[in-house]
Amino acid sequence: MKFQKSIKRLADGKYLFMLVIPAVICLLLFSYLPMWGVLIAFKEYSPFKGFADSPWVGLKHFINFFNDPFSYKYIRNTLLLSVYSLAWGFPAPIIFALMLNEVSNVRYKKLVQTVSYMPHFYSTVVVVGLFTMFLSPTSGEVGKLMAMMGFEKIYFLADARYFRSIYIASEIWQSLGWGAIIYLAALTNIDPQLYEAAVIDGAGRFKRMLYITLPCLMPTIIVLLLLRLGQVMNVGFERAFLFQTPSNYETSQIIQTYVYERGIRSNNFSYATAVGLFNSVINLVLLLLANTLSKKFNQASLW
Amino acid sequence: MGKRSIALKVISFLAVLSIAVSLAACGNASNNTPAGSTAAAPTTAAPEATKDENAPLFDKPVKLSILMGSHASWPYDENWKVWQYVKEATGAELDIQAVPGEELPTKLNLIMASKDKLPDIVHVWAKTQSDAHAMSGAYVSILDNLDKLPNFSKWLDSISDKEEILAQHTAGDGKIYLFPTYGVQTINNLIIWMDRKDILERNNLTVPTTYDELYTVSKKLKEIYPDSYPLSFRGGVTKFDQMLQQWKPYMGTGFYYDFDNKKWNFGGTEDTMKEFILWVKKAYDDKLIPTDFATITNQSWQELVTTNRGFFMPEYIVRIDFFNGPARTTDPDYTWAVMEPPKGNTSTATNKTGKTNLDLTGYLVVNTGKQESMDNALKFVDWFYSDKGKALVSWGKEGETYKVVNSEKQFILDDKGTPARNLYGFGTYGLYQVIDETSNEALYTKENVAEAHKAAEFLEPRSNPINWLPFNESEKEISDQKLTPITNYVNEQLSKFILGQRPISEWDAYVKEVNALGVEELRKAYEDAYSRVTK
Amino acid sequence: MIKENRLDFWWFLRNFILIFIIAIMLYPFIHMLAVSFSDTIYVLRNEVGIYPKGFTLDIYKLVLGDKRIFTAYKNTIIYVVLGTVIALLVTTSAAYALSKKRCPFGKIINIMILITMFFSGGMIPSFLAINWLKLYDTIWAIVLPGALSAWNLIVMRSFFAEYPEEIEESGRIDGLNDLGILWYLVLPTSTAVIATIGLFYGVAIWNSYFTPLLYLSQDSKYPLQIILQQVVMKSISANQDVITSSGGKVIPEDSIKFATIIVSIVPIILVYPFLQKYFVKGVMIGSIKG
Repeated sequence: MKFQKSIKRLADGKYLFMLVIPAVICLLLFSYLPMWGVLIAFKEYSPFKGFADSPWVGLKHFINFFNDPFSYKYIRNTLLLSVYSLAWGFPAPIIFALMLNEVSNVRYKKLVQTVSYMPHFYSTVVVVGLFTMFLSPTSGEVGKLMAMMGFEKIYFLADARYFRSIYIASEIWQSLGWGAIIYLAALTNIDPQLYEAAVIDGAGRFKRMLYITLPCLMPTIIVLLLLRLGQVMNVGFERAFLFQTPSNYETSQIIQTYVYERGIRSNNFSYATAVGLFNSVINLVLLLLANTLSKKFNQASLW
Repeated sequence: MGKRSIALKVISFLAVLSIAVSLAACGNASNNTPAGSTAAAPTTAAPEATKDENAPLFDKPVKLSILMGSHASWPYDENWKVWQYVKEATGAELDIQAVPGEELPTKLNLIMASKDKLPDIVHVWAKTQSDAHAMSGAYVSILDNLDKLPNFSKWLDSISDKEEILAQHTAGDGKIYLFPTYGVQTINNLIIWMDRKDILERNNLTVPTTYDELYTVSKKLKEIYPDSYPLSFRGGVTKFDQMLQQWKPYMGTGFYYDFDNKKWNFGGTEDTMKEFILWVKKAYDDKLIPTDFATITNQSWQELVTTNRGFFMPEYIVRIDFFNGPARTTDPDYTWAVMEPPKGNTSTATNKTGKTNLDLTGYLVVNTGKQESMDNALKFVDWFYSDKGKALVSWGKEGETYKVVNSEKQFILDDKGTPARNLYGFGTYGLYQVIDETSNEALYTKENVAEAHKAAEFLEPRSNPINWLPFNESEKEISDQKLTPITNYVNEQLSKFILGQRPISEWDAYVKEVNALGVEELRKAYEDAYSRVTK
Repeated sequence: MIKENRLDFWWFLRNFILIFIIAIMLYPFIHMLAVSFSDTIYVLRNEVGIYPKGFTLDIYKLVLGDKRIFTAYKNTIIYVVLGTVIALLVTTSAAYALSKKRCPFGKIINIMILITMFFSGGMIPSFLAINWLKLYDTIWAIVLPGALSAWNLIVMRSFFAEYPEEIEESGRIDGLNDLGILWYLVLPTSTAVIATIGLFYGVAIWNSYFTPLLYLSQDSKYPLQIILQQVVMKSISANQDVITSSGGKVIPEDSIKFATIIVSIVPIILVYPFLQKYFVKGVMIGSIKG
C-alpha cells in the first residue's frame, strides 16, 4: 500500500521531478564527488602522496588548535565580529530598501540605487585602503575634521577598541546597496491593492509599513537571516587581515587570519581543513537552533 | 569475414602511415641543423662562439613539460629570443605552463595532487615553494644523481662558497632538490638606508653616523619643517628587522643566528631590544616618526616622501629612482641617496645592514616515475650550468641580442625603450641558473647599479639562515605550533610599548610572558636544524 | 505603490539620509576616476581630489594596452552569458519544484542542498573532481560548478513558496501541467526574482578570479579579473624591487588599482539600467484577478 502511494506520488509529480534533476546532477558531481575532502581534517595530508597514502592522525589537528594559548581569543573575536556585523549590517539594507521604496521620482531612485551598489565592485583591498587613508591621523580627512573641532587626533587603526566598528562600517558601506537589491525585488511583489485598501481605511504611512510592508517582507527577511546565521563562523578573512595591525590583535585576530598565517609558514592543508570543519559544525548547530525556533513561531524556515 | 578483412586493411594502412610519418620526421630532424650555427652572428672573437660542440644536447627531439611562475612585470612570452636559443641548443620541445607567480604555490598543490598533470620540471621562486612538497618525495634528489649532472658537478666544485650554497638549498630531510641559482647580483630586494642629501646640504647638516646623531639631526629638521616626519618609516614592526642589525650584527625581532658567538638567539626579548625600543619610543613621542607608521598606506607614505616631509629611511634601493625621477620635474635638486647605516647605541653596534637579497629561485626535477623523462629533465637542467648554456642565457648571441661597444657588452634595444628583459627574456624566471653577473647588471639603469655597488659595502657578509633553514618533521611540528603565537605576541607588545599603550616599566613582565609561550623549545629546534645542516 | 510626498519631517529625514548615502558612495568613485586620469607626480603627492590633475591617458594605456585584455573581456562576457543562462535554468526549475511540498524526494534533496552549504571538500578535492570529469581547462569548468548556488536556490525557493496559489490553480483548471504552469504563468510574473538571482550569478562570474585560476591553464582562456590582477601586480612589484616594465616610467599603485576597478565596473553600470525594468514588474501586475 505504501509502495503504491509512493508510485502515485512520483507519477503525480513527474514534471516536478524532471525540473529538479539537473540541479541534483550538479550537486552530485560538484559538491558530493569532492566531499571526501572533509576527511583530510583527520589525516596528515600531502598532495603528492595523495589521500590514500597520507597517514591518519585522528583529532591531532583539533587538539593542536585548542592547545594554542590564544585559541579562545580567536574564537571569541570571530564570534563577536560576526554577531556585531549581523546586528548592524543585517538591518541596514532593509531600512535602505524601505526608504528607497518611498521615493517616487524614478530618476532619483535609479541614481541612488546605482550609486549605492558601486562599492560592491571594489576589491576589498581598495576599500580597506580608502578607509585606512580616511582614518589616518597624519593625512586623513577624519583627523583633519577632528583637529578643526579642537579634538586630539586619534590613531584609530592602532586601537583595538575601534577595530570592530571600522570593520563593520566598511562592510556596510560596501554592501548596503547590493544587499538592498533582493529586498527591493521582494517589495515589487506586494499587491498594490493592499495599499489602496489601507489608504481607504485611513492608514497613515507608518501603519501601512507596519501592517502591510513588513509582514509581506517577513518571509524574505527570515530566510536571509537564517542563511546568514548559517555562516556565522565564516567571517571573511581578507577584510580582517587588511585592517589588522599588531596593536589591535586583541580584537582583530580571528580564526581565519590565524589559520592563514600558519598556512603561510607551513603549507599545512590538514590543519586548515580541520579548523574549517570545526567552524562548519558550529555553523550547522546554530542554524538548526535558529530554524527550529523560527518554526516554533510559525515563521518561514529553511526546511 | 567482411569485418576481419576490413580490420586488416585498416591496420595495414595505419602501419604504412606511421612508418611514412616517422621516416619523414627523421628526415626533418636530420635536415634541421641547429639553426644557431647556420644563422650565426658575424665572425667575432667572442669566446662563446668558438665552441665546437654545436650539436644540440639531445640527439633526438625530447619533450619536456615545465611549470613555472610568471612575473607580472615581465610575463612569460614564448616568443622570447632566449627561449628560442635554449630550445635550439638543447633540441628540447618545451611545453611551458606559466602561471601568475603569486599563485604558483596554489597551482603546485593542485598539480601535485593530480598525478596525471605532473610536469617534468618545476621552477620556483622561493625555498618555501620547494619545501612544500620536497619531503613528500615529489622531487629528484640532486646529490644522489651527480653522475647524471656533469656540468653541475663541475660548476659546484668550482665555486668558493660551495658549502654555504649547499646548506642554503637543503631540504628538511637532509637532501637537496632545488638547483641553486648563482651570479645574480641582486639589486632588487636590496634594502639600504637612504637620506635626502639635498635637504641635509641645504640646512648645513652632517649626515648622522649613529642613532643618537640620527635623533638630534631629525629633531633639528622637525623644527625647520614642522609638518615633516623626518624618519619616514612605514610597515610598523617589520621595519625594525632592517634597523636592529645596526645595534647588534644579524639581530632581528625574531630568531636569528649570532655568527660571532655561534648561537641562536631570540631578538624580541633581549636587552638590546629594550634599548632599541626606548630609542624608537623617544623618536615616536617627539613626532619624528609618522604617527601611523604601522598602518600607513603606500599612497600616504609616498605623499609624505614626495612633499618633502620625509628625510631618512631604510628602503628598497629602487625607491631612489622611484622618487627622484618624478619629483625632479618640479624640484631639480630633489635627491635621495644611499647613506651609511647609522650605528646603534650599544657596544655591539655596526654600520652594516642585513643581506636581504637572497635568490632562492631555481629548477626542480619532478619525481614522475618515468625514468627516461626524469633523466632527460636532469640533462636539461644540467645544461644551464655548462659554459655554453651560461653564455646563451646571459648575453645571447652577438649581433642579435647584444653588441660589443668599447670592449663592453651592451644589449641591443629597440627605439621604444623596452627593457632587455621584456624584449628578449633575459633574467626572467626559468631562464637562468648560472649567469654572468655583468649581464644582470646591464638590465638595470647605470645609476641604480652605481648605488647598489655603494650599498654593497654596507652589507653583512652572511645572511640570516632563518631564510632557508630546513626543518625535519619534528622540528616543523614545534615551529608550526609555536612560531605564529610568539611572533604575533611580540609584534603586538612592541607596538604597544611604542604607542604608549603599555608602560615600558613592564618590560620584564613582557619577557616572562613571551618566554612562557615556548621560546626556548623553538630556539632549540633552530639549533638542532642548523647543526644538522652545517655539520 | 502609494507614495506620499508630504514635506514633513520624515520626508526631510529620508532624503537627508539618501543624499548622504549618495555622497559617501559617489565621492570615492569620482576620486578614483580622477586619480586614474592624473599624472604620476600629483598622485604621489596626494593632490588629486575630484578632478584629474595633469590629465593623462597613460594609466589606461597601460591597463588596456596589455595585449591580453581584449581576449580577457571577450572571455568574461562569454562566461557570464553562458554561465548565467545555465545557472538560471538549473536553479529556477529546481527552486520551483522544491517549493512544492509534493515534489518527489523533495525533503531529501533539500537536506542534501543544505549540507553542501556547510561541508565542502575543499580546493584540492574539487580540483580532482573537475579533473576526473575531464573538464580541466575547458569553459565548462567555469560555468558548471557554480550553476547551483545553494544560497541562491534557497532564496528563490522561498520566493516561489510565497507565490499565490490561486494563479497556479487557475492554470490547472485550464488544463496546464506543472511545466506549463511554470512556463506560462509563474515565470512571466516572477521576473523580479529571476532578474535578481540572474544578476547575482552573473556578477559572481564577472568578478571571479580564483576559480578560473585553478581550472584554466592557458592564457588565452583567462577572464578579465586575472589579467587585471596581473596589471596591478606589475605596479606593486614596481614599488618593491624593480622599475616597472613601461620603459622605466613610475606608475603609482593607486593609479593602476583604481583604473582597473573602473575598467571592471563600467560594463556593469552600463548593463544594470536594462535590468531595472524587470524589477518593476512584480507578481501582481498582469495577473488575473478573480
